[in-house]
Amino acid sequence: MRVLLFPTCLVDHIKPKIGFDTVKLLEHFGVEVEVPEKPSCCGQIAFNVGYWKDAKEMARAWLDVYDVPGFDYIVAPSGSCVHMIRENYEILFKDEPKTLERVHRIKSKLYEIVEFLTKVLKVKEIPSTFSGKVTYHASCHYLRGLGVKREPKEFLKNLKNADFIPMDLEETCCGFGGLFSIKFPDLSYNMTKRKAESIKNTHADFVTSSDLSCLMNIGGVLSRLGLKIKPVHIVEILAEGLEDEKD
Amino acid sequence: MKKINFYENARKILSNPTVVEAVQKATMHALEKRRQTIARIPDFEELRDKARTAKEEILRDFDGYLEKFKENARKNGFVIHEAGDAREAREIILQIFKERNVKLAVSSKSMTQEEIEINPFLEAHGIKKYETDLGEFIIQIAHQKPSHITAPAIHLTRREIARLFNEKLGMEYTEEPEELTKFARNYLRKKYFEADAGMSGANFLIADTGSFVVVENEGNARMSTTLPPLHVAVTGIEKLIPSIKDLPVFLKILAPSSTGQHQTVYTNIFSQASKDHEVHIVLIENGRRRMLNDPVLREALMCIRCGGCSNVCPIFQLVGGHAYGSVYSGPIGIIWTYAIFGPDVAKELPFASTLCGACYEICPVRINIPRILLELRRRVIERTGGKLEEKALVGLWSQLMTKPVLNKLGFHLASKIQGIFKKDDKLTHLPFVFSNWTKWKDIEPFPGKSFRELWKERKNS
Ligand code: SF4
Repeated sequence: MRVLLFPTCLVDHIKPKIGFDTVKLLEHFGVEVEVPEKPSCCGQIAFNVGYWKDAKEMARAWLDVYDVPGFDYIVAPSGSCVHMIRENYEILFKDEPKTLERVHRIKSKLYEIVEFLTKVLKVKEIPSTFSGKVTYHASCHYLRGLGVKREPKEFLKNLKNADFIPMDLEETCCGFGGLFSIKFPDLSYNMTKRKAESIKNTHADFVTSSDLSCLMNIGGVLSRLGLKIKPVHIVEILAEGLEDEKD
Repeated sequence: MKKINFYENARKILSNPTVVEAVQKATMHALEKRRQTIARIPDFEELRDKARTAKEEILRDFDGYLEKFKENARKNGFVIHEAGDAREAREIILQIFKERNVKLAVSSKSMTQEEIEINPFLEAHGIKKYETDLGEFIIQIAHQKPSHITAPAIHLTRREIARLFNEKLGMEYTEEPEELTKFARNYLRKKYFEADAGMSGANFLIADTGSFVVVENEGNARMSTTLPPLHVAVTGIEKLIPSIKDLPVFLKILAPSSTGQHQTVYTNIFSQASKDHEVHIVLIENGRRRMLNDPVLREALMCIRCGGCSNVCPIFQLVGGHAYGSVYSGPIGIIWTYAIFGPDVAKELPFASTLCGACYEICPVRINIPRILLELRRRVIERTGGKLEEKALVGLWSQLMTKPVLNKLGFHLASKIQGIFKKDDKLTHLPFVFSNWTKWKDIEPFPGKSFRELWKERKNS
């Protein structure tokens, strides 16, 4: 099985480790992974604030990179980028039948990593360990957009040595919202602060999620508040204890 | 109406912890009650689907159902009036009142009445109107606007209400909710008997029977509409449902989604006027036809005004309804305000959401609010071109993501110069628009190389 990895623009440029951990997970389950040479972004940053022309440009470029033969699936370590492509490209290209065809073709191949592991590879459990207390933030577009709720938490609970502690505001938005956080910083901060308090109340050492964007946002506030809780992407946790196939 | 400055309003409210706390407490309480209640309604999801289907049917043949309602309502002895906009609606109501020499009116809670700003208008014409819903009554004596579509005084604490009653009504100071309610009830009781007219809104207009429904918890709507010899109901034309057979479905989803009750305490169905009890219905269009003809906005006409989307919205939970600067607040309020008061007044509002989708998830009639907000954002940017710095930022990102050479250069440059904004290995004071991020949040520095570059190196090693 061959997978073309969509690292997402944030992981690519801000936290490459998440990309490598995604590869590690996939390779562990026998998947052959390839990474495109060109950079790409799903375009949601522009789409979500109304700049649909720029969004289209990025989306088109994304399709050029990923709508290529030779791969069974496209996998990304982000619920919200997958949501953008799966749900919003049809809105964006509604007047372009040719592009829509490409969107439909690619939609059926595209998965978020945990979604891919559970739905396509039918993985029930990650045979790995992780030591530490972990709490989980359900990213909005992952939870409500893609409808993935249970699976990531099951994975976390079943990790050897991991101590999973749910937070009370698990499903409440962290206040990022893309450019929302730059347009309305005080509002965004107050939302994130509420989230941070909910995280703090769990006494966890780590907060994890399917989306780096949320984690950057939450982590940014945790850091400013001087809290020592570490934001880590879910693939970082899942891959941590796995034997590295390449070693 | 002037442009609504959402963020400015929100910031003012954020600096007032009492309001933030009051709103948060009330909304979280309603959500918890909702959760408990729907856990005991096994077919809740099917009821939502049925309600949605009934509202879709209305949109499919809106004029047909409206005509049917009017015809049947007239058979019930109701007098039908139609108002194109708020001004017309006010004139119609004034006319009805003048002809019958109305000096004093009582009213149950109605957002549509708030929408047409009837109270100051009547006041200016020498007609006093008392709000009899407790929340609305509090708002009225405080000279404020409702801060929630179903719980208008949600932003006030018990202490503030106690002070109001003491100062404005001369009640002895107490914070006991029962005492306060009793006082308001006695105060208003006299008004019902003195009033020349009663007013209400309507929750549902039933096409096949020509009757209409008002739900409430205090019995005040019942008394306002039946004790005075004249009843004027003011309602938007979108409140239509096809048949009385659909009513149970709507009643079963409305209260749980709103306050978390199984049922409201009173459900009033008005189905007959009589010689000594006139009933007038003022049907208000005020932008609703524009919505109907708009392929994206029309879905918002299905709203049954339960307020659930406000309760669950993490922004609303912080700042309450006043930030939205309009009678209609919260996620759906953004859409209604845009539709009714126009894009110039409401151009900031569609952005007042993180698109988290909690509103869509809770909405009993499954209105895809984030989808509509996205479309409104597109329209605002198309009309206004967008803010310069934001436009530049989006444009730059688009270039970086679509042009590999620029991409490489840009990020290498960023990783080189970021040192000057670093403190303790975190970026803490970025320039330009990014300063809005580092105002409250640290950011990890950029790594020198992208994942793709590192990947290539790894493969070639
Ligand atoms: S949009 Fe839905 S949730 Fe919001 S008030 Fe209307 S019916 Fe209720």
